[in-house]
Amino acid sequence: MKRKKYREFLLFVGPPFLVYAVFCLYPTLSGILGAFTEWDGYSQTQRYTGLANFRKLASDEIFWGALKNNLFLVAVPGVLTLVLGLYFASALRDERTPGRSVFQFTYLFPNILAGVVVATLWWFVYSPSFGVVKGILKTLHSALEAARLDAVTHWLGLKELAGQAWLEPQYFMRALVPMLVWAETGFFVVLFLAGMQNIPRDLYEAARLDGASEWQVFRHVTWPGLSPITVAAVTFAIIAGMKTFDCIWVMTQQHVPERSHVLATYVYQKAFTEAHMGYGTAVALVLLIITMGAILLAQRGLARE
Amino acid sequence: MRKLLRTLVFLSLGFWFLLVVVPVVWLAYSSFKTTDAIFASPWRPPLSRHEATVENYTHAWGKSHVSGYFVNSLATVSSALFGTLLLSAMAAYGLARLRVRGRRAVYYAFVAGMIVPAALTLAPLFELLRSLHLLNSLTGLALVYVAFSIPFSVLMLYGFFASLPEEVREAAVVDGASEWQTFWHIFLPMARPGLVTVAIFNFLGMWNEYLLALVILVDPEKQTLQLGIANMVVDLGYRCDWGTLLATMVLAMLPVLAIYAVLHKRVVEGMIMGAVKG
Repeated sequence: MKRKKYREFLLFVGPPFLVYAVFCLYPTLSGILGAFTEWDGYSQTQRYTGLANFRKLASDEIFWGALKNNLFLVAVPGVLTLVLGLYFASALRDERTPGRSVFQFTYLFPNILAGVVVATLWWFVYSPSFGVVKGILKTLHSALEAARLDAVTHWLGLKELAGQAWLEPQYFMRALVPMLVWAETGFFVVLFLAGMQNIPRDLYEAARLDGASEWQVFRHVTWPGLSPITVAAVTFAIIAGMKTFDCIWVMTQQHVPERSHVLATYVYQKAFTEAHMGYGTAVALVLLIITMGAILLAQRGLARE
Repeated sequence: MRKLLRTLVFLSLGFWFLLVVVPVVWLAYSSFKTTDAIFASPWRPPLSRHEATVENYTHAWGKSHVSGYFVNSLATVSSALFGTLLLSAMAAYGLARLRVRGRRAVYYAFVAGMIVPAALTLAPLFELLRSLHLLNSLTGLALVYVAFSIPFSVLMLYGFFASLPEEVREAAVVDGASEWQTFWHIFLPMARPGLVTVAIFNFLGMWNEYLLALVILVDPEKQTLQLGIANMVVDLGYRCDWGTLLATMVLAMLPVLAIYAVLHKRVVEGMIMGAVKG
């Protein structure tokens, strides 16, 4: 009887586990070990080199730059999307707001688009030949000219800004911020909104009877009630910022300048463009460790509050 | 004062609405303009007859191999989706319903895969697929998609199967049904809402996936839509064919948009569960 049960268990769980083990678990473990080796991906030899890859990383300026860029993406667009998401969700929670379902529907839309499509769309926005940004700056320029406010134009440096190539390395990371906020905010709106629906309504009723202001309601009812969702949202934002690849790869037309790398693009560059698979994988392992560390830290911080 | 505040809040909602909608609408109507017209007046919708054209689409579909990319994407994603659902449902059923010792450990081994970043596996996957002669093959890509989708799908479906009443299974066993029959004819239909949510969540992820496809597929004829679009962006550097690119982007968006429009609730559900449980 017991053997039969095991046989059946094996029948159900065996095939899925095999596929999962071969194409996901094995590459992961092999990646962790590979980070301590040197191999070029073509010859058969994979040489164990101990901590050599990590020692090299410590003095690799592109690596540090890429890590800094990742942290920037977690901190700036991450925080902006969380704050905007919380704001829009609070606004949409109110049943007196007209058109709630239309707003919810459209806000989430950019989120289901491919990273490649979003990046290409924004590549047009920033395009120096007819970008949207350029168009707006030009319109502003001529408006100010018509109003004889040349001094303001000059002070803002509009002429220079309009001719700027926004995707050049010196502006690149900052140029990503509006795009990522545009693409990601809807997700956090929907997530926070779902969390708010789980907060008992009588808490809101009671607060309203006590004459609490909107801000007080948010601070003492919504925010504490949301804490499990906030943890999930922050975790999600950290992962999103750390694993960014598509948009950078596409917006640099698949040739990432040294200053514009993030860790994932640097992994690809090292492992496949330069055939240093061991080194590239070491970068990926650091990426994993830092991501997990950041998540643990954030969850601890939020739990304390 | 409160009224003013409410109006301001509503205005901000409307502003964000426009911010999201305008670029997408622009993309949609510009894809029906010639590249020359896009450059001459980037903002104007193609209202007159000599401005509007479907040439971008016919050109993309025929000359630019987009039909091929589309078929590649569709074939890879649909087979990977089928594999994911079948295998994940089997595993989840076994783990939730066949109470043998050590199943917790197996469950955790499955779920552990959720924290694996694709970047860490790229080089080993490349080697593995090459040794299996699955590099540069859509089958290889589909298998990788299945393996990477299993952890989350098992987690989700495990919850569904575990919540179904045990009496149903006992009754079926008493009636002489085999374990497989019980799974296939009784439990799978009961878990349908869960399966649909998992399917949509995975469909969006696979259809939009770029990095793994970039590593695994090399031949131009084997590429998926996302690879095709990314390469067209590179080509724009020396061949100015914006119209075709815009049309291709719309084509890549259509299936996702269709699913979103029809099954909006399920999409939201899947995304929320993905974030909360993942």
